[in-house]
Amino acid sequence: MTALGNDHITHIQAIAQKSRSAMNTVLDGKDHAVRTALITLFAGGHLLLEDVPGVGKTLLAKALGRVVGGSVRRIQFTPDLLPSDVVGVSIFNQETRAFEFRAGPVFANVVIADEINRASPKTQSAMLECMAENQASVDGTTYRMPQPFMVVATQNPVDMEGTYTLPEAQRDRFTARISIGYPSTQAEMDMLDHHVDHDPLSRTPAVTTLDEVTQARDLIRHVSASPELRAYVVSLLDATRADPAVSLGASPRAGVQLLRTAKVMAVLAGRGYATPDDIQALAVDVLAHRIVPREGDDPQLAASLVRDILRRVPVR
Amino acid sequence: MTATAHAPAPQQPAPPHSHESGGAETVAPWVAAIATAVAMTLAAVSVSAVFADWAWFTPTVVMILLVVVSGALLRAVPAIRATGSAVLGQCLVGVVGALYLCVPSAMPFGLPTPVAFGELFSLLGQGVDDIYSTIAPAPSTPGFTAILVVGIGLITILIDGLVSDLRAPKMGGILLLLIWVIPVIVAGPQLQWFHFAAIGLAFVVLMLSRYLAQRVRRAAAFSVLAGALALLLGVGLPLVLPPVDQRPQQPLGTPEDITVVNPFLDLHADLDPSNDDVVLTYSSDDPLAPPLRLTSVSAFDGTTWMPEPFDIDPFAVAVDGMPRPEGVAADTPVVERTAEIAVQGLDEQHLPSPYSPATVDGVERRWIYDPSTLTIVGNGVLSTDAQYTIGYRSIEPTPAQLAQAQPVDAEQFESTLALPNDVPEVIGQTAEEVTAGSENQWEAAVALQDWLRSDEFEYSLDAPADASGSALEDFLRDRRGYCVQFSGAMTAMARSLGIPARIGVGFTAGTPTGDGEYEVRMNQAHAWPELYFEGAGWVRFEPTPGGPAGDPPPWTTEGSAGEDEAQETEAPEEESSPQPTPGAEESAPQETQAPEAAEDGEPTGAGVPLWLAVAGGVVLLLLLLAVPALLRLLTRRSRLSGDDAARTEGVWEEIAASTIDAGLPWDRSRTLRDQHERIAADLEPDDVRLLDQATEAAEALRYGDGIPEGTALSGHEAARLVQRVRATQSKEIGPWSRVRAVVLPRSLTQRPQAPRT
Repeated sequence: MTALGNDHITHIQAIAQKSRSAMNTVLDGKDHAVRTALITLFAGGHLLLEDVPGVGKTLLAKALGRVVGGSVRRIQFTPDLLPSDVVGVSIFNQETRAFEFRAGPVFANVVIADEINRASPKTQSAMLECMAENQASVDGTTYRMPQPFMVVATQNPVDMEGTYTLPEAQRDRFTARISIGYPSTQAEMDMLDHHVDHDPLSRTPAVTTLDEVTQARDLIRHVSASPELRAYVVSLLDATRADPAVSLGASPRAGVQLLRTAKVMAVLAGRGYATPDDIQALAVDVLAHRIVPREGDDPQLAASLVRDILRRVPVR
Repeated sequence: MTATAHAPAPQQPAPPHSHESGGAETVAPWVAAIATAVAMTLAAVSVSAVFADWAWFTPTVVMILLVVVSGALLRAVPAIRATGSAVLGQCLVGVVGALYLCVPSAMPFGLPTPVAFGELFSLLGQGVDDIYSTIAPAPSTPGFTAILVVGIGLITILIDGLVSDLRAPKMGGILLLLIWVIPVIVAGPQLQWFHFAAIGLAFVVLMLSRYLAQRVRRAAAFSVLAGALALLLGVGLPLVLPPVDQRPQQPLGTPEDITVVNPFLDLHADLDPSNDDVVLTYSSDDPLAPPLRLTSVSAFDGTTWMPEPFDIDPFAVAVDGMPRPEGVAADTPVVERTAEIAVQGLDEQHLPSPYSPATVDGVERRWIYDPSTLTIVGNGVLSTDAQYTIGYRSIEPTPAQLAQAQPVDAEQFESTLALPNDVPEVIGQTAEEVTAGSENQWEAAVALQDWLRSDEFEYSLDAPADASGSALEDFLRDRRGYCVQFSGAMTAMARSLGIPARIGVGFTAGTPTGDGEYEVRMNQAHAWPELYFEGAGWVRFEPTPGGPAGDPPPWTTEGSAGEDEAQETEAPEEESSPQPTPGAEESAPQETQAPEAAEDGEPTGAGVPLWLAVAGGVVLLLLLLAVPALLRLLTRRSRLSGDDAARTEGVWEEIAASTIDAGLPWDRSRTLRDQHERIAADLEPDDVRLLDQATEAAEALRYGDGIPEGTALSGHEAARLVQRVRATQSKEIGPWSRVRAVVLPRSLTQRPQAPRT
């Protein structure tokens, strides 16, 4: 059944390790964010970065595009941005006398959706359709996204001025949410030393290829997830729904995403099967943004609720 | 029954308590005894689910009858009955009876000696070992039998006392149900309807004993019937019940033939190239890389080669050391070497070892050896997952020495020279032709080997699967075959020339994996001739050409023959000197136990029923107190036995359970890895390695595609790991908790810790 041999695992491990160290040179001391970003990439998901401005959200996304050698496009979301600005438009060509599609910036391997929560809901949903369907429809014609396709959306905390809250249903489409956080003192000093005069990205090489990433994604699907493990995932999801402190529990899609990322994690650990350790390592990043605490939609609170659930649900 | 005006005596069952006791007493004291005997026999029947045979049953029933009959006789004396001291006499009879039944050989003059007590105790100890090393249904070893004889005898005394003296059959019933607990826990799946029926009937009989005692006054026939029933049950039931895999019991000290599986017969199937499971790995620094022998077959009836039947000597315990092989002269070069062997996929009754084994470490005392072949044979144990260190004597005679060996005395080596009459003559003729011109037996043997290794022969697995006379005839004609025919032909030809010969069966030295490590696969099974030369003993030859067996040993090649003529003086008396009798010295360690019997030390208090009540109560209390510990022990055993998968999960259940026993928290929301990290912090590096193995196997089992071959912990390792974890945990807790962990283990009632909030 499985086409996943040991040599495959080692190969994917090597790719991921190279990418990780390349990105770590750019984002000093942000290994957790780097790791989650790479796992999301290999799991075929999308990433939501939620943090205050200026901690390196865009840098992370750019570095990710860079190491896989893919095209990187950036969309700065503003309240007046229209869906056609994202997806593209069909223009009537006078010479050929036919409509011609001008692809928008969303057609790239890594799309940085900067400050996605500042766009109008209409534009947000156009973006989210691309993410969910891996395709865009313009004037009745469907255009496929390039593969691999990954959206790294950044979002400023919702209480900042001029922002629309990303609705729960749309947050659910992101595989993982992370915040980068302020760098450590040492890292910040190094940053002031290096990044002031150099573009840190200029020295980041492409350590792998798009084909390799696509191939790895296919192989990772063959990582086995035993019935015990799936039962554990389901009991975690159930616990979020039954928790009295949670007003909206995790969706079934959350379980799918959690298992997908766990499979990547397993391969990165050199295993051909996922274990509850993988699930526990990713549960906060993958589940926290999908649940709504009763006492207000606070990322910190949601994360700590997920941690409580992890400590409560027996492992199978 | 005291006369009460209105009571229609015959119909009325006895009221449950007191005041009529005087009446019953005078009526039929032996009814209670018969009831006890019947009940206990039935209880013993219910225990049979634990065992695969019935050898234990007769001594147990004899014990029950001894105790009950002596009790009934003693109670017939009014003075003894009044004081309730019949129990003392019963204990005495019981002790002597147990000695006779379990260690008859240690009672030279029919009297209990300290030696006999020592042996009984060591037998009981072995029984406890057997509990740990077997799974129901188990063969009833002498150890098990001893435990049952002593244990059931003790309970019979108690129940008899309770029923006959104290008139408290209900208490007796509780004791009876304690017996029932054993088969329920140990052999649940083996329980049949008649086991339930037996214990149920036993209970009913015991409960009815008092009622019967009153009724039977007028119905003597009934008591005869009950007695006959007891006898019938004791003698007839084992015959009536489904015959379960009868195994002859080997009473201590009486030699009997042991049925030995003949590995020679399976060689052809083993050699199939697809049969490449690793059966064992070992490390050795022996440059000769000798084959690993299971046994040697020498009895040839013209069709099959079989191991010579040998007298089993339970004292020839392999771990106590094995004698120097027969016929090896003092000046023959002998190199002491060791090999560390780990069996993985071999369930043999023989322990693989290079020839000739001298010491073995790491196996049970039930591995005994055959002094004539120096084969290590399991007395009811198999080589499954054995890990042991073999010290062996590598006998490396020089060609010169072998060349001078004189022909042996044909009578003395009758069995290894025998060729049945129907063996084709062509074998003898060919042998004569091939060895024409040889000046001595060694040259003849070398000529045979050279001829078989020459280009005229082809190694082929297509040959028939045996080495019968006709198969060997075909082989000599077609000149195609494999080790079975090569070794069979050389052995038969050597015998025709007057050289004692037999076939060694086992495995080639296997494939080196570096660092002196070897890996042996099933299809590396092998057979080779062993020829006897005076002064050198049994010497290995290697006539099978074509690779798998490797080069012939140095002493079988002509090249080095004339180099050294110095060793003129042979020591032929070595060869004729009898084997050291290992039984004599090995029996000593068995007798070191303190010569005291527990049943013997009853205090001589005032012999009133009150005294008996107290003593019985105390024993009952102790038994009841021991129940949780016993249950816990049995749970542990069932967790650590079973197949790889069951054991892999069992280890973790057991670790969790012992954590809970110690009163420490066991958090079920932690992953295996988490638990692993926490436990590993307190363990020694060696044990951490076991823990690593346990964790990896459990992860692979639960979440992966199953445990990779050979990575699961063996039962022995699993037990060791659990014991170490337990030891580290008991350091963390106070003395009271430590006692509680054993006597009242929390894990019996408490599941691994409930979710915390």
